[in-house]
Amino acid sequence: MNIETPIIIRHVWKYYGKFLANEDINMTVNKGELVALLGPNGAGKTTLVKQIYGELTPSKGEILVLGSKINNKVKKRIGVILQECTPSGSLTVRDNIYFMAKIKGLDKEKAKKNTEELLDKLNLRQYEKKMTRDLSGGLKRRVLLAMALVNDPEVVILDEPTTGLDPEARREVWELLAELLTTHYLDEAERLADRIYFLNRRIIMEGCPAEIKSKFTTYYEVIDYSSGKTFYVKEEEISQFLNGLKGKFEVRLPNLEEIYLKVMENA
Amino acid sequence: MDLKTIKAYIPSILFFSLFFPFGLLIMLGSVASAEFSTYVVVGTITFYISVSLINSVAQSIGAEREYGRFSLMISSGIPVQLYALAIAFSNGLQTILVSPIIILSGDLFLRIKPDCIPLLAITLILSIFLGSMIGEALAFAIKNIYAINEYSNILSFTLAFFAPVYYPPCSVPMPFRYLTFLEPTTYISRAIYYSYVGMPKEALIWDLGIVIFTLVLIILINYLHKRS
Repeated sequence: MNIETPIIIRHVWKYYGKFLANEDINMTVNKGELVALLGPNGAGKTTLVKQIYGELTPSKGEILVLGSKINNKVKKRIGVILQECTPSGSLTVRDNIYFMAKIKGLDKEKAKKNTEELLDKLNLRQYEKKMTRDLSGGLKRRVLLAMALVNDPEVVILDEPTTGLDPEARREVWELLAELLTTHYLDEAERLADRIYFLNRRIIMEGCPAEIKSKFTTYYEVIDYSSGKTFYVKEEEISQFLNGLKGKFEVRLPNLEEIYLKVMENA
Repeated sequence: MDLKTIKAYIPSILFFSLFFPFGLLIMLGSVASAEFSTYVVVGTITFYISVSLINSVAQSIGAEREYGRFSLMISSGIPVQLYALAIAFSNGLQTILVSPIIILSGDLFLRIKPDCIPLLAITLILSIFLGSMIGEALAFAIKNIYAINEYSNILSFTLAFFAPVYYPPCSVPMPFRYLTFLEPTTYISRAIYYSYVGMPKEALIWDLGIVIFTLVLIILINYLHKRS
């Protein structure tokens, strides 16, 4: 089935009792697109993600995944890595991946084939017979990644897939994701996402990283290599400022982290 | 998938399925008078259903939730009730395997044989289902895994030792006897006892109590699922 917009979220509200977690969320994810949700702790990101894969139901509004409301059939066609989730420690690496393939409805042959492929692709071959409880945090995440991809999913949902990992393991997971999901190198959401949503209960801002940067920033960051100093220069003054520099320099827009802090400050 | 994890716990399964019931029967059988020998066997089966099953189901479900695997299963298209049942079933399987061992050991060491085996089988299946439901209800009623572990231990030992399991309800003084009818293990041990002594009508009446307890727990579990 060829669906151009695999995820459509229309006017979604989510309450926990009287507490409002998501307020009138409207969002779309197009085919082949990588979309990131950014927001502080308690902004409702996980709540929204849980509604997309069907663990929670919206209090109001509608979510369509692969053309229909989330149901068990649709769930078999998606892959999910959850925040703070671990594979079954009492099963081997191979069994975890294989059984997830079976749960996702793959026949025996296809489940075996995909398991073998992912063991190689994710460099898990040497650990295939190990109990996952004996693996490091990074390797457990790799197993979860294999479990999420074993059914050749049409949509992949990652909820903080590197949470709790040390920097090395974090980089390893992102590199694997880059290799598996995109054709270009990445190690941060800034490079990963085609589109970003800033979320703090409601959507505050959306757009592609470059768009957000140009829309939001009114100044440039200029690093003067001859003096080693960093300057923040207003847009209308940048040409004049650069003309005054003598050595090598770098001009860039503030990164997403800086914009994120400003957006959240003003929200 | 859950059944496959059993092989990771083979040493403890062997110990608690084989050696522990032997030890318990021999120890209790050697200190009990002959007229209470049936209660030793009946009590040990009930003890297993209470301590082993309630604890293992509650703690397994608690751990699955804590480690995010319930969410993982839901996201993979497995209904939460089905996954909880699979955990209950794989844990119940151990108790199903232990029960014949206790029955055979009772015959071997204490010369106690069940009079009505089909009725005993029905009672055991109903009891194991009830034990699983108690564990499941506990796991979904409490969110914190440490609290689940703590309270499942307290509850299961209370149901094993503060209920007429190893002795008849008439041994409990009034008015405390009425309280024992609030404990599901009273119904389990009574139904097993009457199956052992060949009183099918009485056994079926107590079985009915087990079924009613189970239905109430199923309703409670459904409510707890919706709430969570």
